[in-house]
Amino acid sequence: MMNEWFNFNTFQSAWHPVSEVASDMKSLSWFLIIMSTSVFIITVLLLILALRKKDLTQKSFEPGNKFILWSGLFIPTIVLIITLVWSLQSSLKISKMNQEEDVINIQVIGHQFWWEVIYPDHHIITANEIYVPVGSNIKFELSSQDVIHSFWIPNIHGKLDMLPDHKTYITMNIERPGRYRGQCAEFCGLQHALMAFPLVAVSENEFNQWLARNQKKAPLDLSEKESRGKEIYYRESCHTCHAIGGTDFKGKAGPDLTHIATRLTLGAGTIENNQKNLKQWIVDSQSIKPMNRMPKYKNIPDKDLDDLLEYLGSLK
Amino acid sequence: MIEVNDKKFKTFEKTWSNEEGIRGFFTLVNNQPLGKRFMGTAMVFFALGGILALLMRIQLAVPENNWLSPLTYNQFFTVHGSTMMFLFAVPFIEGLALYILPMIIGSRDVAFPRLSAFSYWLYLFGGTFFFISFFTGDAPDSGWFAYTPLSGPKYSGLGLDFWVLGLALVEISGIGTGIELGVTVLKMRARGMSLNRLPLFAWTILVVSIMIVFAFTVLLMATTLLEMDRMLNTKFFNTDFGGSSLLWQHLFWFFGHPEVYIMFLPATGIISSIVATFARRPIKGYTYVALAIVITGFVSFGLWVHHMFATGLPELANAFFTGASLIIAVASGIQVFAWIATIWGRNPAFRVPFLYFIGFLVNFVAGGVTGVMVAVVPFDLQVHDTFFIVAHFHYVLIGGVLFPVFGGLAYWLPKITGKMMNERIGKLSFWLTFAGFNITFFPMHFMGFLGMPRRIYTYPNELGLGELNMLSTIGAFILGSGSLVFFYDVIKSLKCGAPAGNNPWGARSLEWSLSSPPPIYSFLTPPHYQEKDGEFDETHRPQGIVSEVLTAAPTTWRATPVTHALTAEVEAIQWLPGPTWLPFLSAVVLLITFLGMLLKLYLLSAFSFFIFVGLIIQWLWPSMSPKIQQEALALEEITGVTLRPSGTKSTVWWGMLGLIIVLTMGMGSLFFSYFYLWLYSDMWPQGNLSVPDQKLFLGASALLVLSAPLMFWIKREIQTRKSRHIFIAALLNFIMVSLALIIYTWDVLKLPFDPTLNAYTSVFYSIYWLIMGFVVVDLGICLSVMSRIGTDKKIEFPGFLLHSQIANMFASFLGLVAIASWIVLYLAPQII
Repeated sequence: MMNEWFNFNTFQSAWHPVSEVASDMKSLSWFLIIMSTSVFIITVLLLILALRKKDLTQKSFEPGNKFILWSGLFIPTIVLIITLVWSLQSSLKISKMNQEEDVINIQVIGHQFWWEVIYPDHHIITANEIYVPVGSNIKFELSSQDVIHSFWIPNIHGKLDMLPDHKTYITMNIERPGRYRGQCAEFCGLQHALMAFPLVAVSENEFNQWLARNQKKAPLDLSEKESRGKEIYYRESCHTCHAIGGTDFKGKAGPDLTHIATRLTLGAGTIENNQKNLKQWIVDSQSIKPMNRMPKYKNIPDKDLDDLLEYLGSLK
Repeated sequence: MIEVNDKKFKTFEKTWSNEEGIRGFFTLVNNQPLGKRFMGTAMVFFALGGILALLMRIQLAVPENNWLSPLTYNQFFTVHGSTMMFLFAVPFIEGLALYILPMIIGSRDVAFPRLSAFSYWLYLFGGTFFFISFFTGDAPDSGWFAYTPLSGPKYSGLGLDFWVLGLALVEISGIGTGIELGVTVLKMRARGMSLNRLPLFAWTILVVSIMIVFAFTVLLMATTLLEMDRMLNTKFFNTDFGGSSLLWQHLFWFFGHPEVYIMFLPATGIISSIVATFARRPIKGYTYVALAIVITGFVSFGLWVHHMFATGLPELANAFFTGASLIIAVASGIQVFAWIATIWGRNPAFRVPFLYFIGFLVNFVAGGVTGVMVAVVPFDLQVHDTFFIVAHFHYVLIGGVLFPVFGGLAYWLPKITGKMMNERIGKLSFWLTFAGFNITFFPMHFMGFLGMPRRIYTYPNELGLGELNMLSTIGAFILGSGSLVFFYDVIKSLKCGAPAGNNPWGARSLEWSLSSPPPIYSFLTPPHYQEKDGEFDETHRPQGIVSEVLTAAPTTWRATPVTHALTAEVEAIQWLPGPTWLPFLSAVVLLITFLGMLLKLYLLSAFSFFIFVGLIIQWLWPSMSPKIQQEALALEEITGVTLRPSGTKSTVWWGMLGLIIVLTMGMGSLFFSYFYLWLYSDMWPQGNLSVPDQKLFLGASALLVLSAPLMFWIKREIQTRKSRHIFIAALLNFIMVSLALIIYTWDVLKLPFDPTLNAYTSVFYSIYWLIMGFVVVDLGICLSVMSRIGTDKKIEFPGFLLHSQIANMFASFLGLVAIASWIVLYLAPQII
């Protein structure tokens, strides 16, 4: 009912867990919400009772130190101890998960304002999206290239900061296939707002296919149009920032484009990746995601742009 | 009443009055006008911060809005947060305390009137300095928390310099006011107001003043380190050179968490005053409430890590800080139920201040329970840095601080202006504020759960949070109109409010025994606090000799009694300064010093800083005319109470204690940084350096350590008036300290590395520089003691003994710092 009124999202919401940890966090939240609401209601009820009109000549209940100590000290202490125990239990479970050894390693490096994603065991470098298999433990090694970012996919897990000076680790296990949205949760500068990514949880099988496809380098047998596009890629200095596996293009400042054609989004989760959007992104990314680090390329002739798009389209 | 003849009364009143006209505007030092200025200025900043909030709410009303650029939005939330924290809440509370506290505890003024003036000017200059950045287009944009490295030289511009330097002035102002209010509560209370009878508002101010001294100093030090990174290229927070990204967060939140209680505790003090008055009886469970206030202040320093649960700290650390966070909830609970017990069945009148109490209680309890929720680590990992947190802390800060502030204004404004506010308009403003506040912030709890992070200028449509955000924006405008109506009510009351009379609420605390508005000296006769049923009893007030003699007296200079910190027995009569240019001028040259730093005109900075030091010396110079000294001696004779207090009887002694805490915390923050950096380094010293040769440092430090007992001996000789050799001893002491400074300087000049090499060398040099700074201060103190011995020995205002005690305190402190620094810098790396 609520969802119909307000059209709530389910893909970036702590309220729609798809992992055991997130489900635990939700149950803990329910406990906390019920506890807090009860405390609130009881206190307000007491306030209302206290404010009731009273005949001062009549003798009646008169709260004193006992009342203050019971309602302010003893009862809260009991409630808070229960809270503390539940909290510690939940924390322990999370840290136990971090000790799992049978894991798939993924490194995520925060940049202003995008995500570099590395599968070290599979020699895959990609960006702004993460593919994972359902039901496996995935260990993320988080770090940052510049300022502090925070890695947060509410449906799956709480957040963990990405620091420039040392690495942090978080292990996740996703139960249900689907596309979930993650977003930077530590203010990281001008375009903090549009620094997001999709996490795609797929079956073991699909994941292996994805791995195989992404381990391939860029194709070398290019059509004429694509070859021209590659030259334009070089001419316009795209390569100084964007690497393409299997070529001499080794730029590190921006996302790796080896498989750009199969990416789901552009601008770190800002817009859908299609021909039209990609074109607009190249020409004037600043109008889509202001203050991102990519300059405008308004002076590329239309024909060259088409060739460039053709080339990028071949990077599957 | 004690009869006062007209002529005596006139001269007395003239002594307490400000100078005429524009001159008086800059030279006045009385607590009442300064308190009003603090509050007025804070309200202006509140309005500015509020306008920024509304602009942000417009931007967020609909998804994918690009009305504000990301830069502008980031600047807005940075300035909004910083303004509300640093320029509104704390200064307003300081102003209210400055105004009303002396009346509540029965003093004619605060302990250090010139310091209040100095603090006010610094606050005004710092706040203006900070806001000027908007006009140069360089408003800070790294958030009020200014996390490094984003706030470091590599990722942010001039805006951060405005932020650091502007706020540094405000921080110094805060520390000044903190020391001042703390000493005022401890030493300026009316005779008979022993600590166990202290009104709860004064309790909160006492605790908060101590917290300010501890917390603000750490912030001041942290911002200094940040500015050094930005300006001098040191490497504290530079992760490429061994600096740490999280050191800033530890220092910042060590300040930042207590900061919340620095705002909140006085708000509970306001509430306790209102509740006692409207329930027509003292607060129930007074002892528990006072205890809860002290515990809250204490425990709030053990909570800072709960702002950092998502930074990947060890499990055990997180568990500890969860536990501590829950303890503080209990302390707040006790206060809440004490208020409920107090009003139970008392049929309180639902006037505007009382309505704000009810609004406060409801909203604050809501903010309190969400506070318990976010202290739970796994829960926090989800809602941290989301709109849930935005909702939580606005419930605490608006519900828990702004409601009491408005309630307190409605309650005390009749005392301040002598005019009543309009009840109907007041009620309208309350309901607008209450409804608007809840409509704005309650939906944010849900938004946080549903994936809305903080500090984002826009959000995608698919997030599905457009409706809730729109609701929130509508609420914000209702909330804003509530404040507007409140301001209108205040201004209207000034023009055509009904006369308030002395005691419009039927309250029974001391300030209501005065006329409204009160005379500038507050009490013609220093009161003798006597209580009946736990409250000041006006009907029965024998005065005692000091009150009698000080009625409308002394006539040509300002004075007020000083009492024992615990028992409130009269211990001394305190001379208080009259109008002076010194505070204003000192603040101006300090402002120029900071401006010079901002504009990189370092010569100008150095020059104006020297003038500043000169002005401070002038300020501290004992300056009593012989005529006053004679009157003072006469007074001493009649009352049998000293006018030359020393030791714990003197406010100056307590002020010095405050200063030493400040300096200790300053050095302590550096020590903490040192060990923190060490903890996260592969090797220490970093970068294959070795610890420099310690001989010279050890030698100089030994001199400082020896200087402490020597100064102690001098003090004792002065006390017992035995020796004639103190001049030689003082000279020897001076030579020792000078020698120490020379050796330190020599050593620091030939250190084998630069301060900018890595984080180790940066912190090494900083500790070294700070201790040298202390030695320079000590040198000044030694010099002053020497010159004092050389000149007058007979009449001693303020007492020479006190002077030597101050010197002794500082020398002991310096000796300890010298030992500690040697251990930290030289010994620790060798043995660990």
